[in-house]
Amino acid sequence: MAPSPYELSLLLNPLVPDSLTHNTRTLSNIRSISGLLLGIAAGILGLESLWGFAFYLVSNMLISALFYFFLVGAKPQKYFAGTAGTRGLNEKGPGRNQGSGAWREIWLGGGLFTEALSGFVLGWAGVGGVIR
Amino acid sequence: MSVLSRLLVLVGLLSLFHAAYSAHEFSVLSTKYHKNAPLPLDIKLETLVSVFLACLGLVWGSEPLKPVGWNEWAGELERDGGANPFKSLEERVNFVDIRAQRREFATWARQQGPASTR
Repeated sequence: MAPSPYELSLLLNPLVPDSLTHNTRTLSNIRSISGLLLGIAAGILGLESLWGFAFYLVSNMLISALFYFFLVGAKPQKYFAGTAGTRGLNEKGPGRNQGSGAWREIWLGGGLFTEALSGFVLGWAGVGGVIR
Repeated sequence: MSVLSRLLVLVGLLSLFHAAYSAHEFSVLSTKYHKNAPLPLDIKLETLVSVFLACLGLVWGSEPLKPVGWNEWAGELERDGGANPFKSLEERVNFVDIRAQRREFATWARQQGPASTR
């Protein structure tokens, strides 16, 4: 039986699990700590309802941009896995296919809508309540 | 670099707490004298700048990422002088350079002199 594209991609370009966990942990560390700081800032500014979440999204895009250009060096496929099965297979020409979809893990991943968001709401509500 | 990034985080945190204290004092004063005044611009700016500095220091000071592809990872290991994970493949019998081995043995035998070849 011929291997599926996913299996073929794993054989052609295997990934290192240690590096994957290290990179994901680095990103989620940055996100959770900066989420708390952003929450404190939102509390100081006295933002209310949707403005707070808009502030969270905009400033996290800024942090993602810093991460993307400073640490990743605008080469997301080098440090993150991306979509499963796209790596290594190259049907269009010679050479190795770098894969695709790793930018999504940087701009939207790392607990942006889970852990970091809860930290943000904690800081926001707490500081907003203490200051006013 | 790491010292500078830590300094950035420290400065950002301190000025964030300063902004928080200022905002608190302002809200106490404004409820005492003239009600519901908006937060002054300088406190807002201080908050934004300090949180940006802290985040910049955080991103800058975090550990460098490791390449995720096996080939790049192995290359980096070998360049740093570590053990090559492909070593067992590269040292198979089929890959032994037999001429180099013979030359090495010949020079060794010549160095030993005629006494040992007797």
